[in-house]
Amino acid sequence: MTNMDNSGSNSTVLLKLTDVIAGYGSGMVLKGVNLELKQGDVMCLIGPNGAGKSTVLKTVSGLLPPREGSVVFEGQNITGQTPKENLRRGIVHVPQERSLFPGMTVWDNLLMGGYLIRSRKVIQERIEEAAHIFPIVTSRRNTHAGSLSGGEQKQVELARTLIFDPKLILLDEPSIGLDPKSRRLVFEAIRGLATAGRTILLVEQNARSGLAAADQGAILETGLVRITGVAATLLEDPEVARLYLGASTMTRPPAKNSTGELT
Amino acid sequence: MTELLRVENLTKKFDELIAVDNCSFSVEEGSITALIGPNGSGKTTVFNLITGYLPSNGGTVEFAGSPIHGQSPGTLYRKGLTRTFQQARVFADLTVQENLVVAGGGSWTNLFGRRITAEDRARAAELLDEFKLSHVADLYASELSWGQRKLLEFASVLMSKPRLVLLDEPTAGVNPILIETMATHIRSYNAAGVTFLIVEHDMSFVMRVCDPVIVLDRGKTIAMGNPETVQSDPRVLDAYLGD
Repeated sequence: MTNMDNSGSNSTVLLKLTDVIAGYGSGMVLKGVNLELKQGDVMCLIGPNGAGKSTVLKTVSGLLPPREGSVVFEGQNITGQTPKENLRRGIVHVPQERSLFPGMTVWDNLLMGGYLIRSRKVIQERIEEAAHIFPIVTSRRNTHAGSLSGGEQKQVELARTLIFDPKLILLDEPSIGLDPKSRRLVFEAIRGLATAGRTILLVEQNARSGLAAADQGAILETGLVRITGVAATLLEDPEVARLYLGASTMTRPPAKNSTGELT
Repeated sequence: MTELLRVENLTKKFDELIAVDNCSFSVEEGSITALIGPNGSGKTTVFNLITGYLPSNGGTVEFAGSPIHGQSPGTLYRKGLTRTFQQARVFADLTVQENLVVAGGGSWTNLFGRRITAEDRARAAELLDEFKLSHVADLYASELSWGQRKLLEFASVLMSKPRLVLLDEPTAGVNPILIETMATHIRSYNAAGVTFLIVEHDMSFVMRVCDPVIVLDRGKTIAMGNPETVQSDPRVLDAYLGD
């Protein structure tokens, strides 16, 4: 593993994966993943399709218990714990698929997010806090979630994670299927959560935007972490760009010349 | 150029919501046409109406000069009209390689119990290699990641011999490097005479691959033209691209 990290930060390690091996059926997806995430950081995980990015998130939230290796959260070994136990510890997982209840209002969806919390008052307070970062919570509170646009739904999903007052938010491709305006909203929202002190582990195929919203980056390939480092450094690295980022994914590319080639 | 697909005054209502509102556009034979627009503007519904997955509440669709209104997806597939989905639809209980070889016939009667030729196998192996799926060729499609299913569905389209292909967000969840491989295949297939209509949010991809671009907003066509013109159209900036 190449470490391009030169931040030298001493802040607390919130999450540490050591030699994690995991897979489905007979197949092995993660082949010894090592990863460390510091308190308050946003880390973006990028890499080819099938590299194991979503699987990393599942081993952390408990949806898939690792076969070998350990997952340590706040200094405690949580390897093989259930998603519910991990949720109580403060780990929330937002999957790739849309996960709101389409027939329920925005407000009810947020209430559902607090199903493990007994105090109605606490839920109410947390929804209000969430509304500071995501105004849609109040502006569209009585709208059925299913009639919101994709970008709006993603914002409600992110707001819903805050009802648990999470210590760690796992986001699996939050920008997928979103139009350019909504994508910007979602990446701004991620920065908003970071500013509010949340620690986030993010998976993105929209690699440039994902790294731009992150403090740290990690590149996963064939079940192993190949490179970790400061996100901005990875973005500028020509070798990383050639192997993993491809052509620029900006909204406004350079104009074409008459032959249709990029200038 | 001649029109391969013509959509006229197409309308679809879901209860109170008018998802597609008197929408009209056409796709020229031999083009790579993009259909863009905000989330919820009706793009996928238009695809579902064209390909027979949804009945419309009004309007007509013509393919190669004949009305195809009300025809089933299977009938349209046999006529050379094929599509992909946002959430890729593959045969979960077939292996990755089997998914490709059954797609190779281009004819429904060939799909089951057909003779799989050496040529089919060679073509499948080539595509698996290009889309970095060779190492999972013998896994069931249900074991693939979301993005890998997307690539498999795209490769399956390339195995068939369609006349018009509708791609619904082909690059969503696909690694940036493989997006380039997709672009290359779309161009070479297009050069061989296949027409494409592509729903896509990756504007960089649209600008590099597609011409013309049709813009949908609230179920209506609001702009149409070459990528540069559309990209600087104030209505498109307002509805879709933002600042």
